[in-house]
Amino acid sequence: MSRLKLELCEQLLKECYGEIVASVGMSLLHNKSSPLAMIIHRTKMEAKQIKQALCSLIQQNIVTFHKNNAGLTEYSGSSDAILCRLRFPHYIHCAKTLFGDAAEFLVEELLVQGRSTLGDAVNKTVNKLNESLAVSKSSIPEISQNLIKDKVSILVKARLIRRCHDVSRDKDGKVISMDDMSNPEILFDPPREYDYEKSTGSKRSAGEICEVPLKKIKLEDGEEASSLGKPSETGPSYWCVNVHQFHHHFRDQAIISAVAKIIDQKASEVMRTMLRLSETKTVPTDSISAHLSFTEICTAMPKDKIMTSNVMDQYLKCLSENCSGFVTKVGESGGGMFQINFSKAVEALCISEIETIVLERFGSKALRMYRVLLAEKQVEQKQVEEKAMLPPKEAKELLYKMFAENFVTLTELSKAPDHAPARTFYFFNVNLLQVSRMLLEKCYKATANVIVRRQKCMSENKRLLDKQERVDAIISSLDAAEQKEEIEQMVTLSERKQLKKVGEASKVLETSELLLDRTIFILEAFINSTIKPLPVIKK
Amino acid sequence: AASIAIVKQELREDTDLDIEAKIIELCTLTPKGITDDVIKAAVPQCDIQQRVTAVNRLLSTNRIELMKSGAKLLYKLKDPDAASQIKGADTEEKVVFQIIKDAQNKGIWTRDIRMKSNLKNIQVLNKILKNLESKKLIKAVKSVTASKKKVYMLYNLEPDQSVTGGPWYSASEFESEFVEILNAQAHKFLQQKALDASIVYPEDPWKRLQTSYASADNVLQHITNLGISKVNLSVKDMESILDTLIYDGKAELSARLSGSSGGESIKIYRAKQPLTDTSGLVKTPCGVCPVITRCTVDGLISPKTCVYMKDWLDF
Repeated sequence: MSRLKLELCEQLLKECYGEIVASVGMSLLHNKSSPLAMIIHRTKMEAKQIKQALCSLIQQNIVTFHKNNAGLTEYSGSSDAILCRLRFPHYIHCAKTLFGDAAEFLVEELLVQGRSTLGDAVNKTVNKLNESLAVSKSSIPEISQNLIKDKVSILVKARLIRRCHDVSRDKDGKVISMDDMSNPEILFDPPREYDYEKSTGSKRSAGEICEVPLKKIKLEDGEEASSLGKPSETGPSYWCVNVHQFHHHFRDQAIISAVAKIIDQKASEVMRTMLRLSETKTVPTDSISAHLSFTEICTAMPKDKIMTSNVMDQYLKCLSENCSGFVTKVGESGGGMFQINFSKAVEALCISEIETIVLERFGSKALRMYRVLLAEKQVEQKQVEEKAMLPPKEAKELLYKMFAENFVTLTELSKAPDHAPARTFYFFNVNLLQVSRMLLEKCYKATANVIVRRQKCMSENKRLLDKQERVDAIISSLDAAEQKEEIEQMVTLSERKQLKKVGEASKVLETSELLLDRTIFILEAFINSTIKPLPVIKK
Repeated sequence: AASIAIVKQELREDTDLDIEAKIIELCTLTPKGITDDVIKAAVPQCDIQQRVTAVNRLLSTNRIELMKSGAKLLYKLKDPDAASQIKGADTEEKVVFQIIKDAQNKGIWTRDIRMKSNLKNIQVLNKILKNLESKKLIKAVKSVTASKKKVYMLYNLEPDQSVTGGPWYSASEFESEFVEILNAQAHKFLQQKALDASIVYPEDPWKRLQTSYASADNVLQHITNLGISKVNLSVKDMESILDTLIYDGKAELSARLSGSSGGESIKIYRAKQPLTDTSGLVKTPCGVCPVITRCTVDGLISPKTCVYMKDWLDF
């Protein structure tokens, strides 16, 4: 966990949940996992506050707990879960484009609550939709619960929402740790009837015969929590959003838009179909997809985008001959077998992002030299100048500027054993992984800065914003036009201008947060694709 | 006995001239040079003393010159013009001239001349060089690699590429503007080709892709037609310009087998667009900020007081 990443997490926690939760969360992040006593000691806050903070963090899937060797319950936080908060608007938008408004509200509800029972989520969604219908006074009849329940099953099938990790209990029925469930069978088990029941703390759910009455589960330190029931017990289980699936979807989106840029729109549709097919066949973390045959792709194309097999064949040829190496042809059976190479695709996207950054930061001439270095691996300074065809002075200046900011690394190779500078080769090259990590840190810093600036903007104009709110509240409660005008006059013209400026500024800052998150996503995807899994030690 | 000695003498004189003529003849036949063994085979009746005398006489009259090939000695016929060129010059000048001539169109540096001719005195060498220059036998050319260095070569020779730098250097200065203009023109040509291809083949993506490729030759013809270049450019020069386009990320390279029976693959180029949009990092001031490493939340440089952010948000 780097310092800049932790700072960003702190900013996000502070903004979303307040100071107390932020300090508890940060204390957990700074140390791998700590029991309650340690947290109290470090943050020097009241035990009650800390417990409440921990509860909300667990609710939001940021903190998990387990029993350590000494028999104490240890809590550990995850910084990635906090950074997902940046992506919430993206998740919601994605759900909306894929499955419509109802899905959008459902996902939003689950994201805001962290984890919730389906019954609650469905009810809230229905209310929201019906409210908006009432406001717009349209003639569409009220949305029924069943419609929303269907949407839920669709989302579960698409693996966008899942059951939450359950808790395991010891012989006394006390909760000791969170299960590390990764069995897809259980996680994506379609919801049953009782999942839609209202979640209540103490009442027995109707219609279920249960041997054991619902107990209030006691945490080890005597605190009470609402029941986190297993499906086998009575009571509905908790569901949350499956962010991993959304991330796969984002990665696919990036590949599709890249293909659209290289070839054209129709080719991107072909790519989309291929990705959709490979979703069901491939393990998500693989670097290459399963083989897809030509006939499969043809039949899987959506009805409105069907094209003749000749054209399809040509598009597949274009895709596989393309120099970025996204798709390769691996055989001739079934009209041609194709394979998507995810690791190459992610690498190409990452390189492209880094190139745009170099372009904006240092100029187009520097970009030329950078690409020379990327293409030729180890190059001497003179050779870089010659290949890029730039005047030597300028080239030298830009190259050393890039070197100073760690975009480029230097390797020394001495001809003589005394390593004299006159008799040493100096080679420049680009270490992609190093540069990605460096830029990722910069992105974290930039995001933190943007959040700080936005908060400052809001707090500076707090008085004005409050005034505007009150005026709006008063206006909405009035009916007569003249009174409305009178109240509106309370906000002067210059104040209105100021408010408009503040609104625009915060919009700019929020969009830049989202754009920064995109870059963070691509860089992280590349770095994660290069990490090889640790070897499993067999005992 | 005396008469026999006289006859022998006469014979020897005759054979001396014969040997010389034979040597000249052999030299003309093999312009690369002949070794001692070849002469021996041609005039077997003469002994080594006669051969040596003949060779020495030819050398002193500058009819042939002595070369060394590995461990053997070669005798080469000398150009009569060259013989006349350095008439009247003394041996030192001849040696220096010979060295410069050997360097051909690459030229040779003064220090190298000194080493090869074993002349210790720099002033003497400089005087010789000045002499030769005034006689218009050699000239000095400024090298593009090290602007202080001067290389000497024969007066009538064209300097080599490595010295002058080719079409991109004029007066040993790199002409970046010229390169940029060529770069832009080539890019426009490739873009136009891609556009034409998309109009001709809207439905056939593979054909469209293939026709949007252009070879270096095509681009070269287009540029020569435009007439923007004062110098004649070769295909290799065009290829280096197209390489810079590739490094700009505006074009990509592929290979196509030429249709003729030669079966050589030629390089073809195509205009392309970058894979992703501009990154979000550089859309914020932080991405291009020069002092980002010193930026902290509550420090002198902080996002709360950042001047760049202020300008950015006020537009």
